[in-house]
Amino acid sequence: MNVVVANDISELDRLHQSVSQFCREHGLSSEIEGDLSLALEEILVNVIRYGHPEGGKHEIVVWLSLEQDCVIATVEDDGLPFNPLEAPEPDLYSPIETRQVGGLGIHLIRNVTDGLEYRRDGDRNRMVMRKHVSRSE
Amino acid sequence: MFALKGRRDAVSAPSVRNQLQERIDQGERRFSVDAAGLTYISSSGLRLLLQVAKQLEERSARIVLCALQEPVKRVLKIAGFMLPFSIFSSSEEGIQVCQRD
Repeated sequence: MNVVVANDISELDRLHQSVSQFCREHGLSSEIEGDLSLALEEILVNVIRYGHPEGGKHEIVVWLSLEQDCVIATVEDDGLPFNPLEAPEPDLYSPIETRQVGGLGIHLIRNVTDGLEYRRDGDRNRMVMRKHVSRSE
Repeated sequence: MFALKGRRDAVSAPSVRNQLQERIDQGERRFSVDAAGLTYISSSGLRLLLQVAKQLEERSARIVLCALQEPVKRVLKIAGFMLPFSIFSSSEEGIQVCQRD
């Protein structure tokens, strides 16, 4: 499945619908759907918020495929180079008053996927996420 | 009591934040959030909870989360939110705790 979304937060609804359709078509569980939706949302939100400081309309391409027992989700964008794998781990232990608000997105992605790869191809970021699945049917 | 339903993602979080902010500004000091109808939360929803909780702490007020569904609880665990937040298994418990304060 191939989904092209604009760099606009409102496009996330369409992303979630596409993930839902993909999981339905492949008989994947609601847990897998939730994890894929979450990981892809976090990646896209980063690209949409920080990828194009100059503004303008840009396209983000998401591919979803099932290879044996692994979902491969690839996100490609033409934003600023950004390797999420280099992001520092967030603070998970402080009390509320001193807890930092940011940095949770990448941490969530790391924890709900089984493999992450980042590559800068020319002027494009390419993020590949793997998620092991067991079919629900 | 504040009921959260459906999905709290980057699209919907700002409107919830505005609703909560309005009630904080009106002087409400105890929030029992009924999350029984909440099926999905992303870092945008977590950020919303943390920002509201920080604001309430500054005013010696509090927020408690109730009736979390498993997928949402899992995300809160990954984010390290289970310890600093007060979490109750039912909304009745949460309301009782808020009334006791």
